[in-house]
Amino acid sequence: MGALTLYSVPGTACTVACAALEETGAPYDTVQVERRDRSIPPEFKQVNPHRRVPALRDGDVRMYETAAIILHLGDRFTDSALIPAMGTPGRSDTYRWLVYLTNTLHTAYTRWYVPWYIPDDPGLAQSIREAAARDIGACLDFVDGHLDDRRYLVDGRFTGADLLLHMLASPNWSLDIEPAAFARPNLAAHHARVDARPAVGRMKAIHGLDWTVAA
Amino acid sequence: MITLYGYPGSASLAPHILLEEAAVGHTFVRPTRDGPDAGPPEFLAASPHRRVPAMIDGDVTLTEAAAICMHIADRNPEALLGPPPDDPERGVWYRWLVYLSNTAQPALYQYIYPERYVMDPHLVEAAKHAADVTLGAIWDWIDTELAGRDFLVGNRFSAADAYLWMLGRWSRHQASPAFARPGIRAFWDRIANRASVLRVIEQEELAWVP
Repeated sequence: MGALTLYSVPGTACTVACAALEETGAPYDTVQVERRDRSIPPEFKQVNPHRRVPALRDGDVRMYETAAIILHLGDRFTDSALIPAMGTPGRSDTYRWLVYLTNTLHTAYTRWYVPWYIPDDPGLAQSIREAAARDIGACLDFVDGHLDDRRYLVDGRFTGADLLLHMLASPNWSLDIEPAAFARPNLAAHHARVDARPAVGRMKAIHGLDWTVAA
Repeated sequence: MITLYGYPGSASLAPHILLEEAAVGHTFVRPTRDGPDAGPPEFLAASPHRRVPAMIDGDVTLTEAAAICMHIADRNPEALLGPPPDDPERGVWYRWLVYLSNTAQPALYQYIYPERYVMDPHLVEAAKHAADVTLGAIWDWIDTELAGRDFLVGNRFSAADAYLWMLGRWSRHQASPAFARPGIRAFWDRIANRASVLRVIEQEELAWVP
């Protein structure tokens, strides 16, 4: 492991990798990847052959998958709050929430937004989007219920899973979903709580994000 | 005592293999998901969506197959089911488990349950075809990743291999299943012949193993 380089497209899931890096306090470089033409810069393909962002080069270690990047940084920077240390309470629950958010809520958003999953068939795309919106709503409802008596996803403490939820419920992700994510009071309060973290403030400045959500 | 809730061949398969690898005492419970007989109550409390797998390990209750795999690896370091947290390969191990869980697995769900992915019943076959195409690209890529190597991470068996083996089995109804490719096929046989996997095949009475 060595120098950290984040391959980034502003405003995408790179925001959560950026926030996680900011949480560690470690220095890192950012390389902008072309939003449309992911062959630029050329070395990006070596870091992530799927050409999806975020991707992180950590010396010789090539990381992609947002949840995996959070876990990797948590293990690498044990003073950070990203994941409880091995053998301590909340460690496995952090795995659970990161995996659930990435393979259920995040993939539903992918079906909503990104056409890679869908062949060139507008009718099919529309029907898939409708099903995705239904799934996003159900997932947001479930998480809102979980937060009914909790400040953070994992009992009693902030983790990197909260960063992922913060992104997936943020206005620029859930803009077109009805009802809006923040019609759910617990999600709105959670978002405001995570939004107030200095690392998240730095991420928003870097990515030019300026939303505010009333708790 | 660890209780793993699952069904034969379902997403509980990888965690079940890892419990056998670690040789820790466990019970495999097949819950009743629907109707008035739904239960047992411990399962309903552990898994609000009634999805499997769920696991109760002392004071830890978990869902999500990949998270359960990571947990079993952490709790049984001597079984070497994943690189330790200070190992450079640890991140690669996370990367594979997350990739399989959020890319290959949802595509398989869309292939197996296409009716859940479209609102218009006339488009179910089209959704299934879209998933088939997506899966083909995923298996092709994994096949190239396995070229010249025996396992996904480092040079030894890990939880990521159990996960890929489980997902490969789910692809069996595709016209070109994962293991139709030479790299995945060799990998498949290597994993299928592990003592832990053979025990799970017997315990879950898995009829279909190519």
